[in-house]
Amino acid sequence: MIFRNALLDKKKSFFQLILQNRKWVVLMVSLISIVYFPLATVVNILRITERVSVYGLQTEYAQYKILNAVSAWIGFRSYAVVISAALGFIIALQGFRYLTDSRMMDFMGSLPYKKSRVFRNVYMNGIVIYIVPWMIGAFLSLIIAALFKAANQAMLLDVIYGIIVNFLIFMFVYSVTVLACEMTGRTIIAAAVSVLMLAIEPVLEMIFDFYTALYFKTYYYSSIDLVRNGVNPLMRYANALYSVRWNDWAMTFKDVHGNMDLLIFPLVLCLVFSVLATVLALICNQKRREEMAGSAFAFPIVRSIAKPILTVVASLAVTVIISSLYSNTLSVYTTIISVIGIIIAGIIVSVLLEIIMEMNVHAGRQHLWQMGIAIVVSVAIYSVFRFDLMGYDSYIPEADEIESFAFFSEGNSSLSDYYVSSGDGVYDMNADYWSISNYYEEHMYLTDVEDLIPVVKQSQAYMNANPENYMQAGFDFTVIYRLKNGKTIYRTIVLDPDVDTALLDNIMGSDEYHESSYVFFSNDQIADANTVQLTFQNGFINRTEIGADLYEEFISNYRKDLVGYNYSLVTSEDVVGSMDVTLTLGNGSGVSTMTSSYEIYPTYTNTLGFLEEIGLYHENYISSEYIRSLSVSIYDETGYESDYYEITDDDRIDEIAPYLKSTYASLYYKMDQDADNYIEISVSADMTEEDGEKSYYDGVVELDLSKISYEDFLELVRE
Amino acid sequence: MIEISNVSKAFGDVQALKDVTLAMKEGEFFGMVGTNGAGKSTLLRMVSGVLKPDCGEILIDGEHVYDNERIKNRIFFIPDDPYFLPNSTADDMADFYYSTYIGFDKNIYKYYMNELGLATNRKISNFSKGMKRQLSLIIGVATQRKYLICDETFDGLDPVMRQAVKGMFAKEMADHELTPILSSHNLRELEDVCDHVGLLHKGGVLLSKDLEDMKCNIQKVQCVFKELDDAQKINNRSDVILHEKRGKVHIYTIRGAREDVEAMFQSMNMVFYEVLPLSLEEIFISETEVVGYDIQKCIIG
Repeated sequence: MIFRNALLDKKKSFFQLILQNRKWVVLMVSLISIVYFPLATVVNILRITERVSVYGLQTEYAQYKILNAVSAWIGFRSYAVVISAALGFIIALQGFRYLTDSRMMDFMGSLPYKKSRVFRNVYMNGIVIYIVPWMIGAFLSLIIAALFKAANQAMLLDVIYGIIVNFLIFMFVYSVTVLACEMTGRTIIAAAVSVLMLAIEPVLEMIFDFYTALYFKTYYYSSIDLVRNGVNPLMRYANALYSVRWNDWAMTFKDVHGNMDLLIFPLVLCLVFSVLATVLALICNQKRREEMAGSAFAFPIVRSIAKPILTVVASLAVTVIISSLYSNTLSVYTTIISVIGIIIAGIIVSVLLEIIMEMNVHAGRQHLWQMGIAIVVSVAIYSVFRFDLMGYDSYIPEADEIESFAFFSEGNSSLSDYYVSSGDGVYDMNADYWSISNYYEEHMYLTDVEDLIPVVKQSQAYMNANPENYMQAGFDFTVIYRLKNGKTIYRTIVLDPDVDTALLDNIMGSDEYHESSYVFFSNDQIADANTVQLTFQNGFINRTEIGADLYEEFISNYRKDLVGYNYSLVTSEDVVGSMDVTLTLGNGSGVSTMTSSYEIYPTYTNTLGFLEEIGLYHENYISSEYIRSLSVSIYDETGYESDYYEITDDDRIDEIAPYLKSTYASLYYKMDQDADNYIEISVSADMTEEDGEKSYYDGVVELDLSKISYEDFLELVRE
Repeated sequence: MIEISNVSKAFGDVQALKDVTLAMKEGEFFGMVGTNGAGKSTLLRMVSGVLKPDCGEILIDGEHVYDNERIKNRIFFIPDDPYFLPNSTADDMADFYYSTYIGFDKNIYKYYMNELGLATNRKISNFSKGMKRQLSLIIGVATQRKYLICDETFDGLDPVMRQAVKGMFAKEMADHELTPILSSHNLRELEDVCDHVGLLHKGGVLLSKDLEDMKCNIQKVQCVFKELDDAQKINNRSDVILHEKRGKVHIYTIRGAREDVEAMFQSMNMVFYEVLPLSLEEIFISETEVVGYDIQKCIIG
């Protein structure tokens, strides 16, 4: 009889023995790292190469796209971090499963090793199982990319950073899962506790964000809030990666290094939490009683924390479902239903958790005090939001706390048309601003709060007094306060219809407001632009001219007219059109554009005069001589069409046409107050320009209510 | 030497062991007996360093065993349901223990595997319960540790294998100074091999004695009296532990040395008397009835 292993005479270390008995895990990681990634790199390169060939891109630009595609796959901005996180989870659960099985515990516990040594070896084993194949796979992919001429020197740095990033993400998830294993005694419970620790912060934030949006009337959603407030490294990393990933780089060392800087903080968080979790895991390992293998929790306190938290989360989540069933979430009835739902969900989830933890149906009656606490906490949290116990909706900072503020109506802002795009139409999210609010944060020039605070107070009072229908009443504005302590606070208000317009005129008529509300391109931007295009549009017709000098003259006139811009103007006058200014910039790796929009009111005499002078201006109505046909659809309050009229008679068209205007006119601050009937008017027009060019309009127009009422118009149409 | 002093262990609300004090000498074959739930496995796990006592201490060769690499290196523990590495063969497990324990003797491993007819390259998952038990014992012996601790040693073994295992232990004790510590719920299994026996019941030690001492100090006598007065004299003696009467035949279990008991009966006018060998079970019954336990309810087999 001989030993199967010919090397039996050579003793293996404990580390090697453990590794030898985890061959399935090693195989799995190796398949992913050494087979999947290199193969997928080849497929990705072939795909992008074919695409650049089909689109006929220039060689330099094609190479740029190929490098970026490969970098996005094997570099540090790759979504491979999801795989690394998953591997961290799996490898930890598999390696430390001896803590969940009394037979395995007998085996490991009887070996002539200290507990800390066993922990150390198993822990390091998991790291080696991950990192060695991963590094091999990463460099193999890079070599393959180089062979396909789809790599450069900067990509080597990219790949090294990628290994570091993936390793840190792996370590965070791995160490947290190891901690969960040490705190519990069953694999399924360990997995659940691990997920709880990894996800509880973003889940709670989502729930609180939902509650805030649902119950707080003055809530304003800022996409940056979640990034600022969370400490969860994975969420921080995901948000940072989002800003990095959408950016195509020049694939230089500078670009690689510069973008990596955006990820430093979340990666440092990963490292810190990894160390913390590992230390805690080691402490738990020493304190843990071996007989807890097979029990739900190794430490009773973990159950006392985990179960109530899970119960609270589930109970609060029930309100999400309830709120989707009822249109009015602030009614007494819905409130009662929500509370009942929270209590029932708390009972069910608590009992189910106990049954799952103990693997015993009769265990549901245990630890009822934990259920009680969870339900009380859930109802309390719900009440804080539902009844605004912390005064969210009535909050206004003290005047002397405010350093500056922004005040804007997002739906009526010309900034909604401000964006930067690259040549293939993809938005350049690494350029200036994420959103309108982000733009205003960087252009917060208003400081005089004397007019603002009374407006906000009155609006808040109006919203609280009319909780069910305040949204139908007036315009909504966003207020961003920048406090002297550095904090930024966002609120939304709906103006009281009886608000003192003089206060609003002071705010919106100020130079600071004008400067913050419009994008005025700098001289440098104009100088860098290949072309500066000005397009006037009014909903019927677009007219374009090109020239940097034209832009300067336009802005000069526009600034003069802006002096008269205020709240009274925008709520009494229709916009007659807008000017879109587009800068085209070329940087060798693609064309990018910057566009800004400026609405024009009838009182803008300087601007209108300039536009007429350069031949861009056109009235925002169509003369009846051009209209071939009119159709009028009348809808009743249920939304069904009740009447339809097709008018082609010239005389009838002559009668009706003067009462029609472009829909463009109502884009800013004009609201149709008459909701009794809904009229849709379509026009088919055939226009000849002054220069003899023909243009056509086939679309919807609006009724000019300053000239005729709905009832009179209907009578006119029905004649 | 293994010294267990006032050791207690609880699992939640269940008190598995309470104030247990025992000593296991080197070179002695220690048998631990008790019913299910007596605490045998718990005690053996603590002695092996797998579990930590709630209070009290367990010293092996003068040092605490729990989390002590040096002392645990002197022990090999075979639990009642041994664990084997997944998808492993006997050789794989031997390989593992060869790397783990310095002094693992592969010749002994090969010898006993051959003697007991176990395949070395067959997957252990395909072994029967008894074969797994045999493999554990063989590996345990092959590690050449000072102390071999086995829980429910003979569970799953057929009578022939039981004898073979007893022979293996005896050989290793003689050749390599092995100190086996075995547990069983069956006294009869341990009778042939144990030098010292400990009886656990409901987490406590009922008794712990050398087998020879127990046998020397209790005698079983079967006799027939000529005169009733003599029978009455014997019945009234305080060292009579047990008395049975079947017709005219009296069976006494008497505490005392054999010579003293024989002398006592010789001094009487007897029809006949003879001193009979006591089984371990009879000794235990006698001893435990003294302390008030109906040991019949405690011991099965």
